Amino acid sequence: MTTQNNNEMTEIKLSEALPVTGSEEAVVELNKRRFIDSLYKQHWSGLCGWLRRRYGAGPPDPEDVAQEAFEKIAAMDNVGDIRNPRAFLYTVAARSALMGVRWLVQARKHVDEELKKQGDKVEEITPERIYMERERFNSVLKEMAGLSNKQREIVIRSRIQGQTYDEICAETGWSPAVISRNLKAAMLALYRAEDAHKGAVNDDNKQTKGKD
Amino acid sequence: MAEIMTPQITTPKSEGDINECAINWVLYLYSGHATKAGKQEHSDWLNQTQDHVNAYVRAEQWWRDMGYVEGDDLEQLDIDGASENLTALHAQGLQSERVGVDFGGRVRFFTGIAATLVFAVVAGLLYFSGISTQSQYSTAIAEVKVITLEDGSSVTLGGSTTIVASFSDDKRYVELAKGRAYFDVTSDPERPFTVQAGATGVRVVGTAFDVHKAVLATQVSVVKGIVNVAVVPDGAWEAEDVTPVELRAGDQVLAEHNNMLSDVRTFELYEVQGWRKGWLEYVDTRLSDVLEEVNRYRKNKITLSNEALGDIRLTMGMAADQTDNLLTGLEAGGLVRVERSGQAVRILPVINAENDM
Repeated sequence: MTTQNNNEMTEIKLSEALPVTGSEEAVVELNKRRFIDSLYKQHWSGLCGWLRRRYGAGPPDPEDVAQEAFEKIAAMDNVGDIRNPRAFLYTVAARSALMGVRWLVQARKHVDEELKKQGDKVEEITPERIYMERERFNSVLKEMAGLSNKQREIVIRSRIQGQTYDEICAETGWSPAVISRNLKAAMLALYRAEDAHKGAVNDDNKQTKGKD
Repeated sequence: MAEIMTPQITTPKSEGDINECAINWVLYLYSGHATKAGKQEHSDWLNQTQDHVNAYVRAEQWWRDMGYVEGDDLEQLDIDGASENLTALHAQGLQSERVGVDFGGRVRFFTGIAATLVFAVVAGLLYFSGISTQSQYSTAIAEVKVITLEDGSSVTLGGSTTIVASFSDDKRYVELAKGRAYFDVTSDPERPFTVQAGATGVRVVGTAFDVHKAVLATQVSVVKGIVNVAVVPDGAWEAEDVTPVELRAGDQVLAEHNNMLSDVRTFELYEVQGWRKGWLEYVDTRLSDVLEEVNRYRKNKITLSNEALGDIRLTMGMAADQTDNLLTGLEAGGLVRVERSGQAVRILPVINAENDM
């Protein structure tokens, strides 16, 4: 097991577990518990503070939400694939916090049901996806960083805090038209980044083909 | 407190680009104001063609993935602090933006002429945030970031830098409130691009230049094209006593705050480009100005025990994440003493100088 400690990340590769006497499953379980423990030590108070600032004192209680996030992660299989445990932890916690927002839960339910009718679905943010599609998630972080302060504030309120346009307007004074325009700009930035990346990949493929 | 009007959130129109339409649907459903009828309309729209479904899945997937957060990185944006600007403006005696504007929209004002203009035009408009769109961009300590303005111009921000961009149909205006920025401006003869850093104004048509708002002076360096630089305390270029100086590629000028422009000198590209790649470079620069920039890349700020020390001139370069080299360099040169207590770093005169009284 290798442990690499810099300020932000503790990367523990489960696949490099030392060969021990006893079942392989037991070793994997032990490594996983160590990983969760270390995650807990490093990020518990930071996460609670963040949840309290972003979502208020509750209900639900920030500590309960944080606890639930750790439990969810502990229940996951490919926990060792998480390259950026902190980002994933915060993402899971944010999703938990939003479960209490009724209109939001209903909106998601509507979308999931409609897509199911069409034989389609969207994926959740899992460690596996974050690893397999790391360019995509890096894109999210990068585009967010490139937004103006106003755009970022609107994205945080709508997407991360789960506020309605009414609530955002009440707290900021920005009209629904302004809010939706800025959210749209953020989404289009992600689309552009994706198209640009696809274009680059295609160029690479063309070049490789030419060499045959 | 203005009454919140029931928002007229409507379902998207079916025409136009399919991706935009799908995005509009996502935004409608997650606005918090979707109705049962609206959801049925969404269902019908999905049923129309597989293309609609594919486009919608793409949009919904990005919406969900946009929830991938880093936590503290989002702390830079102090949502509660956003209302401080308005309080300051109130203190300056400007009218509340709610007067005459009954949609509950919020408009920010500049001081002076620009304010009256924006206010007069906005009153009587509904659901409109004002003629000019205004965007603020900030970086954290030691963060260097490239952003793209709505006209396609690209701006590289140095550490702890804030710019406020305000674009309208006939002009592009950026205030460098704090720090240092490199501007690569798209050409648009219809809309001059003006940068204001304190009392220093830089006006361009389309070009690339570096503006560093330091303590004792603002430094403007032109990499490409032509700019006019002038001392314009209120941004009023039309005033009689404003005499702009024209700079071309390779020219650099210092505008001492509230004073005159220095003579134009030439500079080497490496002098102004380094910071964009994490290297801070100084040529005959005063220590106060060096510290202003260096401190934007440090948590433990360096202070001077007296102002006179600020006039010491330096020629040196250092990595932005190794700014302690500045201190060792200064001490080694016998010019100053460095005192550290806890996290504070202070520069003091050498003891001999003080004893020579």
